[in-house]
Amino acid sequence: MLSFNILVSICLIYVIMLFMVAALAEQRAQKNKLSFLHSPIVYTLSISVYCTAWTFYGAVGSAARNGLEFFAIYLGPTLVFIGWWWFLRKLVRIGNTQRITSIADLISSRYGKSNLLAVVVTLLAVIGTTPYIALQLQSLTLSFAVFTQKNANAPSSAITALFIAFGLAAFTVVFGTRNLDANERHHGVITAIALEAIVKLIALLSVGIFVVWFVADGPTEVLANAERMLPKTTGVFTSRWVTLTFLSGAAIICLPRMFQVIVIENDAEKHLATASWAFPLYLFLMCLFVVPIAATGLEILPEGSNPDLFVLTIPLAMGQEAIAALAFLGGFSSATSMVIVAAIALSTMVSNHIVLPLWLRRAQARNPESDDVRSILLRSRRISIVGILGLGYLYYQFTGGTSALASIGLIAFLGVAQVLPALSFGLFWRNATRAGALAGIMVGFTIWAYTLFLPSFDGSFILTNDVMENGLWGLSILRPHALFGINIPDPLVHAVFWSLFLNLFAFVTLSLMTTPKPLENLQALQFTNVFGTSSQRHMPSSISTSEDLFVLAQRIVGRTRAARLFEQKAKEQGKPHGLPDPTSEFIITLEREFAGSVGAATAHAMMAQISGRETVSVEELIAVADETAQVMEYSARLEKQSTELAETAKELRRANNKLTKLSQQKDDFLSQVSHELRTPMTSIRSFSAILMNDGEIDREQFARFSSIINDESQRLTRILDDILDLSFLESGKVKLNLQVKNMGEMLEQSITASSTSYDMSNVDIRLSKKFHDVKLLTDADRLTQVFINLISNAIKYNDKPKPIIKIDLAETPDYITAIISDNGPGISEGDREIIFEKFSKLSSGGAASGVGLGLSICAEIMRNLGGNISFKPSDSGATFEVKIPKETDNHDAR
Amino acid sequence: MTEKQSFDAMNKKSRGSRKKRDIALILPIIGIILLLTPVLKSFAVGDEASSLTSVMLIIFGVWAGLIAAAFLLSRALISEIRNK
Repeated sequence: MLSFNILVSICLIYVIMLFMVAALAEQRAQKNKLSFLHSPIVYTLSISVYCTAWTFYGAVGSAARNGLEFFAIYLGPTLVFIGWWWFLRKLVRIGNTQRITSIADLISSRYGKSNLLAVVVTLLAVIGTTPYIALQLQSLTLSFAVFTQKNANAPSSAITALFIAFGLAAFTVVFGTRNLDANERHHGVITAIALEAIVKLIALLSVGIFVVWFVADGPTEVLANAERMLPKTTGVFTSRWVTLTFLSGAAIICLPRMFQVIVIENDAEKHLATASWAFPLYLFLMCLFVVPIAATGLEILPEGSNPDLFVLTIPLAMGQEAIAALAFLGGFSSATSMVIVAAIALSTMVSNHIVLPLWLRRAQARNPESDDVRSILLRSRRISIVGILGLGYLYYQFTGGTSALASIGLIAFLGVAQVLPALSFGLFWRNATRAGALAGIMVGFTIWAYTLFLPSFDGSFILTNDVMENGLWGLSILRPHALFGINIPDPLVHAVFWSLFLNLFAFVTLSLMTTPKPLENLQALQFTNVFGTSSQRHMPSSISTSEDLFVLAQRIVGRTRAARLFEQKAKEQGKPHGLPDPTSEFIITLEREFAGSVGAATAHAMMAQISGRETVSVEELIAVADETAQVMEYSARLEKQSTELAETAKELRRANNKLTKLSQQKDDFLSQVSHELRTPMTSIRSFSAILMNDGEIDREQFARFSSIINDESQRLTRILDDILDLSFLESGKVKLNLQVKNMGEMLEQSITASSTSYDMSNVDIRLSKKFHDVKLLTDADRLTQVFINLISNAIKYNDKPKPIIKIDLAETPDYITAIISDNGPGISEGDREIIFEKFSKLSSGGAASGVGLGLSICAEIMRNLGGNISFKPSDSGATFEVKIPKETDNHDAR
Repeated sequence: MTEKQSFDAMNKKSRGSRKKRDIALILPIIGIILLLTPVLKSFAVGDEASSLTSVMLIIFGVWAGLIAAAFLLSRALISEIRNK
């Protein structure tokens, strides 16, 4: 019997050898001597990480228990690989062009770079992978236990598992996180994995050959044994068979470690062509001796032996320690390679999608330059690897090997298969949206947990036995193994059907109900159309140059602001002249600047694209920015024109109102004039008729009638004079009679003249004394006419018991201004505009007897005198200002 | 070579590559039909139909056939792949 110490030594030597191979490969990779590492054989062998300890030990166990069912686990991947041209090739191409780092990254990237989606997929992957890692620890511990059964000094299985977990974590940390390659390739690890693939194949083939030709008498006897010993139902072509095939086909795409080796570690698409037949061939060889080993084990080993360990126990039972050791090494290789790759893939996801976003959020509060993202990433990856293996160990301790190996593996398969709808539809269906993907994954994940994952704890974790029997809250339609009352005997088939069906249903329904965001649309196009002829251009370097950034910035924030921004940044970076370096901090600043112009999402997309994760070129982006700027400019111009138009329309409306009012005034005036003319005409006509017809009127009456006729004729003449005067003044043909005259005298004369027409007993006229010191060269008669008019109006329209009229003087170097104010009713706002228009009769005019020409005449006179007259609004009464030039020599003609 | 001949050759070439792609699509479908449905079993007679050995040999046979077909197909398609 191999001693425990020898076994440990074998493992250590083997691990040291793996270290050396990995180190050598890393070295060669750094020197760019990758001819061997680039070979499709290494790629194919690395894919064999699919064959874990579950395959190595469990397939035989499965064959012994369930017949040929185990084949399905290998036929699924075979079908996926021979159909590589349609699916895997597209996946690999997208992985390369989009610089995908993990399956979570792919899903998030496809659905508009949603970090939420990435986090969900990452958590799903961690939850789905933990049992799988536990499974590897379990099978390794079991295989150790086979050799140490009779050794009292050997450590307990818990300690063994702890040592294994620790050793695997150390190896993965050392080789999985040595460098942060942009495309996340790990040449050293992959080479070591390829070597392990060879070891496990040789080990299994050796055991098989030994069993068929040395234990039994050739294939015929083995087959006869198989027919006798293995279950009578072959388990082939049943619904479980189809389910298992489908599930394993999904797993080869969705398992994080498979995605890592197939997509991320792929160097060239042509390697996929080789793998398309070489990997199925590898699986074929791995399966070749499973049935013979199972049959022979059942035949020769005592009843009750664990069929999962036949690979080890048959050679041991036959005393072939060398073959047993080789078989042990094969199992060891299977387990270690799976754990290492899974830990690398998961740690990449955890650090990229959970740790880094959290750190970035926290870093905003601090100085972002003080930390190095690279070291943060490396550290978080190392911690994640240890954490993931720790989780696996805890799970192993918790379940303590309660389930058969195969069932844990299938639970994990279905868990990660929940991303399959979002992933595969995402590659071919453009209308798939983020909301749909999120809903599908969440729904599928929930159903999976409820119908398969939690029940696997046999009522000891969350779901109690009662719930298992009677359904949640006693609702029988929620029984975990017969959802909606539909009885599917096999729990796995049941869970696969419901979780994937409802997942797909939620995904498609929500995708059809929601509209994708622009970034999502862009990504959808990039993914579904990855083989399209255009947009295949690769960015030569991951970071664009400062010149590109500057050109783009000019397009977005304008030339001067961009220049200022870049200058300031260059100074901060310690560059006296030239453009600043495109550091990440600078790019973040720029993005924030851009966000002010084009919105945060677009700015983010632009910066994400310009910093090299996209295949859209800088020139295309600039074109987009140009277009945006043009549209913005055009819309600004339109806006300006529209305000101008509104302004003009407003003016027109005002003018129109004024015209309407004036026209109304004119009509009113004409009727007024007719009336005014008609009244004296009527009295003249009637009195002259009396004088003509009645010969017997006395002298006295005759004199009275004649005087009425005379008065009325004079009034008629006065009205006509006014009209004539106005038109004369307007035509500008008026001849001014200039003379020097004292202004005080003129005003006093005006007051006297006004008082002849009105009762002045109550009126208080306050004339400023200053007027007597002012002498003017002007047409005194005309000016007096203006004053008379204003003073008469002030008296005439005043409704106060004691009218007060003030006449004040204001003087400027060129003008003398007489300010005539009263305490009357003033002029309403609506009338102010038209008081100087001819024919105007104010609405508030009341009992006025004029015909509305007085102020028009005044305005015309003042215009002819080179001055003007204006109305000043005041709190009480009306105030008129008459502005007269000190020199009146430029006015006599217009 | 005349223009017509070169045109024919080109046509033939593109038709050939289209054919290869069609085979690439059909191969997994053939695999699915043969491996997931009991078509092959229906050809067996009597006891053979449920015999473990015969079913296993059928699976291995189909499997080997698919691998061989995939091998030939990959040799044919490798020229279509952009060399990066």
